[in-house]
Amino acid sequence: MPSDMILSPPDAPGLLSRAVIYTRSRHWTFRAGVAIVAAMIALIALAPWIAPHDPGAQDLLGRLKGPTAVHWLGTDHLGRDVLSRLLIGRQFTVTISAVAVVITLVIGTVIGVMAGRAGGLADELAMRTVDLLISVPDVVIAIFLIGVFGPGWLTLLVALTLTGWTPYARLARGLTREVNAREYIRAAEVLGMKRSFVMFRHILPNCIRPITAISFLRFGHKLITVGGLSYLGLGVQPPNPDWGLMLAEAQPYLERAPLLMIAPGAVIFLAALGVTWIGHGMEIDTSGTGEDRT
Amino acid sequence: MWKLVLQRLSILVAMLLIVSVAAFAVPLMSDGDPARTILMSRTSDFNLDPDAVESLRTELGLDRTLAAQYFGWLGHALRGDLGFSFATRQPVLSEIARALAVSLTLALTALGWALLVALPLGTLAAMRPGGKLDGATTLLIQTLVATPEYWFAPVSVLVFSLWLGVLPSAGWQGPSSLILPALALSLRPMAYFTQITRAAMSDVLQAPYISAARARGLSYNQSVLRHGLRNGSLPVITFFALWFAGLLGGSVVVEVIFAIPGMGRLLYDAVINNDVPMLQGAFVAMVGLAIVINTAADVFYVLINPAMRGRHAQ
Amino acid sequence: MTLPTSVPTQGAKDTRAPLLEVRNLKVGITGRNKEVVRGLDLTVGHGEVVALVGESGSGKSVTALALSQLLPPGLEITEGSVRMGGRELVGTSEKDLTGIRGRDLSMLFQQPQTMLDPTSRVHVQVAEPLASKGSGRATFARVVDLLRGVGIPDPEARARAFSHELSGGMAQRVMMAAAMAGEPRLLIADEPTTALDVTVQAQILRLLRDEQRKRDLSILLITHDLSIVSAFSDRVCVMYAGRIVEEGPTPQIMKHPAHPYTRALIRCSLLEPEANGALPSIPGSSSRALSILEGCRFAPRCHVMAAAPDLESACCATEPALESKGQGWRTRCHATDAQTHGDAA
Repeated sequence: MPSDMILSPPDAPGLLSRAVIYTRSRHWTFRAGVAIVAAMIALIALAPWIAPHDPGAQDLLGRLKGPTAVHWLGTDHLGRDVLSRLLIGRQFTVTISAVAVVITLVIGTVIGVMAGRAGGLADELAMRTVDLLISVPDVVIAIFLIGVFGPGWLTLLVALTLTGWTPYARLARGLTREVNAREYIRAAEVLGMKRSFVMFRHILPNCIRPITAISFLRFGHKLITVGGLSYLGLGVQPPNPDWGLMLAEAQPYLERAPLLMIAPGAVIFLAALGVTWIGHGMEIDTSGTGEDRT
Repeated sequence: MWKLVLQRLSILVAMLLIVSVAAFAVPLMSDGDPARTILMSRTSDFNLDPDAVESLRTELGLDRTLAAQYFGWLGHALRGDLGFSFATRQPVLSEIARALAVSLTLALTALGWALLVALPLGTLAAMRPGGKLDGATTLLIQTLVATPEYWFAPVSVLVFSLWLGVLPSAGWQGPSSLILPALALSLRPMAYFTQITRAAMSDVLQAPYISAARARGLSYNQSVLRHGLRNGSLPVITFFALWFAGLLGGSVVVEVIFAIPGMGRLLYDAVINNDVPMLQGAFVAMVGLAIVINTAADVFYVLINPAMRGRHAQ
Repeated sequence: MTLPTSVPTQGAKDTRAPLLEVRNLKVGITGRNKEVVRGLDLTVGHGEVVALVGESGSGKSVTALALSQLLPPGLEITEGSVRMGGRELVGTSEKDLTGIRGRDLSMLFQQPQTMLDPTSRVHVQVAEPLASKGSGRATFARVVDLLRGVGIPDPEARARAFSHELSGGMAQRVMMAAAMAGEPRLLIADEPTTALDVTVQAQILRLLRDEQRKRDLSILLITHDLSIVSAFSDRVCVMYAGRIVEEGPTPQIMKHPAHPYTRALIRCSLLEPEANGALPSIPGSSSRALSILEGCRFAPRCHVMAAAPDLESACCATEPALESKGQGWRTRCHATDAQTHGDAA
């Protein structure tokens, strides 16, 4: 139950062992996703020590080489080591996606819970807006804003936020209405409990798990979107190494050095796959407990 | 019924107005002076004659108030006049119309292919929940969702164009140039369509009217075909509209990779060329179209679902 | 226990073998050692109306689905036989069953509106059991005839309707028309009137009765409503916790029920207040009866056993067999007649 997560008794097992128990109880995709993401985080964190080369070091004579014993994933058009550039980087794609997920999560949940609590016209209006906005591709908004203001992290963040809040709002609103309809909430209100109390004590804890689950799914989606914008040259600017940007730089050499394009794409794919599997694994169990609760 | 249509239409109009305000106002918030931008693009000279700039400002109506400018712009836009592209000097509307036809072809091909795979696959997976095929389908869905087009596309070009040489790697000539981009574009909708079909069909397969149909002597497969598929396809329609609207504009990456002259490419070029009228026009067209398609699908859903039709009629 | 070889009362006129013969039917939950129907014996003669009575959870609806081999996933027939006109249905291939369902054996269900496909018109669904698929127009005319036959006004318009445009009673008439389309010999009706208004209930029952007489139809009527049983059925089988506890000719059983459970059911259905002003009820619930593993499943709720302490050892140790009282009347109880009727005075 969600309340356990808030009020754990003093003799409850530690955070780590609880995390282990939680992971074991999940669908296998959750465990596989955690394994992928953990491995990637470890590699990136250790990058300064394990990266075989200086990611910026150019070697114009050894450019566009396939995999060798020295350069495991080959070299790019400036002779830089691909593996090192994948490992070290400002991780712009990942960071901006994560920040966008957190912001949209907060905004969407607040709007959803408020709409669900308010009901009536406000609810109807909010949900119709969600219905319509959800179909607007975020890439279009992003490109429009970039076209006007130029590329930059703030532009990108605004673009991702404008429509990104909608899935959370829809979900939070549904959960809120479901909880609202339960007898004990009405009983609590009849007994004169404050609305805010009901909201924090009963509604938000019920939202935590499903919303966390879709956050991971959305994170995967954002990674792909931001990577795509970088690929178009509308994200991070060179010479900062970034996964999406590496794709763009590699495109002219697709035939000569295919790995140059396949490698960064595969990394984005793996990262997106990892978080998607985590989200899916959580979602399966969440819906399972949802059935038990009703 | 009509009440529902009216309600959806009024929300649609309100949203379109908001989109138009955004399209008009956002470019004003940047530091650039449109008159200078236009002149620069015409003369490719950074030392502009101040008088020329001033006269162009008057000509463009930039000396009027913002509201007057907006309503002037909106009035033209409603009459189909979205201005002229800085880059090509062509009317924005005709450029959009040409690009839209291309994107429409691409999107419908991709979605048609996605449905062709998703409907049977989702149905089969739902028929044996927890079975081998169901597990494999779930895995496929989760994997396709995470596959970036800009990774799949180059790999497919590598295999089919460069190695096998059976399909063109880029361009827009004939049906064969449609295959690879449509394939790349179809992956994620395919995943979501399969997921939604599976969910809808597993609901339908447990529906009482399937048992009743079997009690009337239909085989299980006949019951599902005659009475399950239509009910199961209702949620898929909503999803189809969502992706149709999304793919029309969201295919920027694929259109750029394959050099396809569609809406995505138009938008991208507008950014690269700093072509504000084209940017505004493409933005309004794409977002507006997404909203219009979505509303249409919403109303259509009610029309084809007899039960919904009845409920709203009362 | 002995199995009946001939059908009593009405069936006495009819020397043919019974139309439906169920022997030792057991339905279990897949993967779990739990039975919902525990060795059911049941016969329905030609032209006979048999009522299967019990509380919710007694396994009567599962029985209906098991007889037509339409059990949902998770439930399966573990043992026993279902013979329809001498033909074994258990283990018959799905392909052969499609020739039997809708033709030899039709069904009516409790919620007629949810039993119709909401997106498909009435005439399409009614036409499905028709044996020969003629031209579209001929089929439609046949459907209109069928709809008229079950008393649907303006049948041509109704044939083109969707299920949400029909009232509950009208939907049940449509289901009836569909059930009759294949000219079946047996109709299994699972609580066909429970979800309907009382006045509509009577109409549907009258329709059932008319069709039964007109076609010499056999009906297995599953219900919990004893007033329907006494008005409608020739024979009654009372089911408790997955087994028959009493069966026999309806008039006799309704007048002099032998099993304490049947007695209690009849007393409750009369809705006549007892001496203290309370409405009669059976203490306890049937939901836990399936988990009782020894003795009579009804023992914990039995007022006869409660009144006669010397019975307790027998009732709680062994489940009584279904014993004949003559005239096709059989009951499953340790108590003597005197003990059973003693408390009625």
